[in-house]
Amino acid sequence: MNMERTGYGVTTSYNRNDRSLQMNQLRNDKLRAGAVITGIWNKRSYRVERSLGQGSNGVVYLVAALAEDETVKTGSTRYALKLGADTIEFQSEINAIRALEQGLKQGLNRDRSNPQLPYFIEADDWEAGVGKRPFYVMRYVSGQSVQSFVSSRGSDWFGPLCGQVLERLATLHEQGFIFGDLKLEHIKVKPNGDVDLIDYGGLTQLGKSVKQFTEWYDRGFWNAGSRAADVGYDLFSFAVMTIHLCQDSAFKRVMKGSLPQTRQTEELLHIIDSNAVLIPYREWYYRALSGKFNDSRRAFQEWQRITRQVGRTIPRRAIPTPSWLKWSFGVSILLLLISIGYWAWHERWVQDLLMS
Amino acid sequence: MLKQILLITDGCSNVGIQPAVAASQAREAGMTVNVVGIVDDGTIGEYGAAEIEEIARMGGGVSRIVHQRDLSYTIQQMTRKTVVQTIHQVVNHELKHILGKQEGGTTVEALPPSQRAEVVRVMDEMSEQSSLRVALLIDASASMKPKLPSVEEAIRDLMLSLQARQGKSEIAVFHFPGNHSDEPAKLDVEWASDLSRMKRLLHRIPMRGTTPTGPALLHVLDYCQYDSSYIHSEQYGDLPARQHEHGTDGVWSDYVL
Repeated sequence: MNMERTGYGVTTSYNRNDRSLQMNQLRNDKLRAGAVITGIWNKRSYRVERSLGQGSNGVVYLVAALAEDETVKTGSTRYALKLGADTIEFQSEINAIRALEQGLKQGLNRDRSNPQLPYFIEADDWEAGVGKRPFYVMRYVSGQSVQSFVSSRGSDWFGPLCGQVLERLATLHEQGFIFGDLKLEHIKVKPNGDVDLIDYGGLTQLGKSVKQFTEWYDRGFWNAGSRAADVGYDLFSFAVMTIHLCQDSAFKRVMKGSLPQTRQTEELLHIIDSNAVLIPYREWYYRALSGKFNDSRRAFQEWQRITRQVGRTIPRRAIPTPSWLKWSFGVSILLLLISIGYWAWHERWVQDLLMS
Repeated sequence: MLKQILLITDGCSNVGIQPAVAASQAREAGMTVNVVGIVDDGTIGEYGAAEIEEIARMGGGVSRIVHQRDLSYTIQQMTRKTVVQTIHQVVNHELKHILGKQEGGTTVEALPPSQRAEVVRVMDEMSEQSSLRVALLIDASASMKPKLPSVEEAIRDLMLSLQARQGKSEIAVFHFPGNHSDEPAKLDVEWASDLSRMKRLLHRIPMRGTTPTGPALLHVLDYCQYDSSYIHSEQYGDLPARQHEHGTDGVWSDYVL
């Protein structure tokens, strides 16, 4: 990686020698808690509280909005602030998010209310001392990861939670976008069980090429289709991701053993067959993995139907017999045998029979 | 048309012209040279790493040293980002022309957010729609032999990503050294936009010790230049005609070629 760069990775002049992918650089300069970020265009300030993680085009921080007198008012709202390095890529992410929000807002007037809004607060540049860095501020979603939610509360939550993810995807698709880089880290479960997608860095217009993806969940990686943004791309990622969620060890085993040329979605269907939670959805998975859904709203409804069925079926699994019951049964049999013997001994005809 | 050369190697050149010189000639000809240094469990060595970095710098591109399992994703991202960067430069160049020496208004980054949003939207369209050619140059020296399957896999993966673009994308594949001493690099795959029917990409790899990276780069450069769109349209009649009607391509060929 070309590290011969000044500033924070912003190309400020037409200079062919001064190019870089700027991928590693983002990770190297994290801001500390207490740092203040001020926008040069809108003049609003934010104070960094902590880092929330590395997003696709930058680092995301939890921030508090500063009042005019540079103090944080008690009870002031917390936001997530994403600080980028590559202005062009970053702007393109902002463009996609704003276009999506525009569409959602328009839909809001005719449609039901959308709790997802407002997602995007503002975009600005920050004079970081050694160069300008772009940032944007969005709603902060606090919550648990799906893995920890499901593992602490049980697999009954699998169907309903994943159903919500599908609903979010369907809403995106109706606006002409796909989420693109779907992965477990990009899903948050709020304490009330609501699911939110975070980090829209992979947002791609339908028909364009998918720029960012996670190899394991990528349709191309599984030799199962193109990397062009269509509804099926997200559904494919969703399918692989949720199989991974349910069967972590089996999934990793398949990933380790598979060769790129022979990697096939059949291996994923085998994992489903060995998992009681996934089995009811087998047909759904088959369709998602082989690109047979072309309407994600329908795919969502189909998922919901299965989830409802699963919820209403009382498993016929027998309750295991407690061990005290087994013991007492054994003891009573023994007592029965002893008493039969005793009774028989007392009966004369038995004695006679034995004597003769 | 955007043109890139992607060199995949695991060590130092040892014969012929310095590869950095060859890379700089490619840049002069309007191409971008990216370099991936590939390692398995060992390291690439200080000298090798420095050479890789220098080839990319002189070629106007970027370099990365990766483990072979990360090869696919790395070259996909590199290629994509290089397309964006090339368009970025052209746009910056144009902005300089349009806005002149106006204070702070000469690059995309310096534009106020609303204008920047609009310019980047157009740039994204261009990145997606411009036609692209990537010539891959694969080091096939003895030490690379065990890594060639992953290289081949990565090339197929790159093709898959490029096929998803709206613009025409083609790749050509070379390996070096060639079969005899007069041949610095051997053409394996001619400009192609679909590799799925090709069973093998790299053929007849000789076991020779030399690594003529510089001469091989020049060989690829000659191929890319000789096979210009003019000659291309003569050879393949109606195929590129569609491309010339394409508005964006016309604009780009003025500046990039």
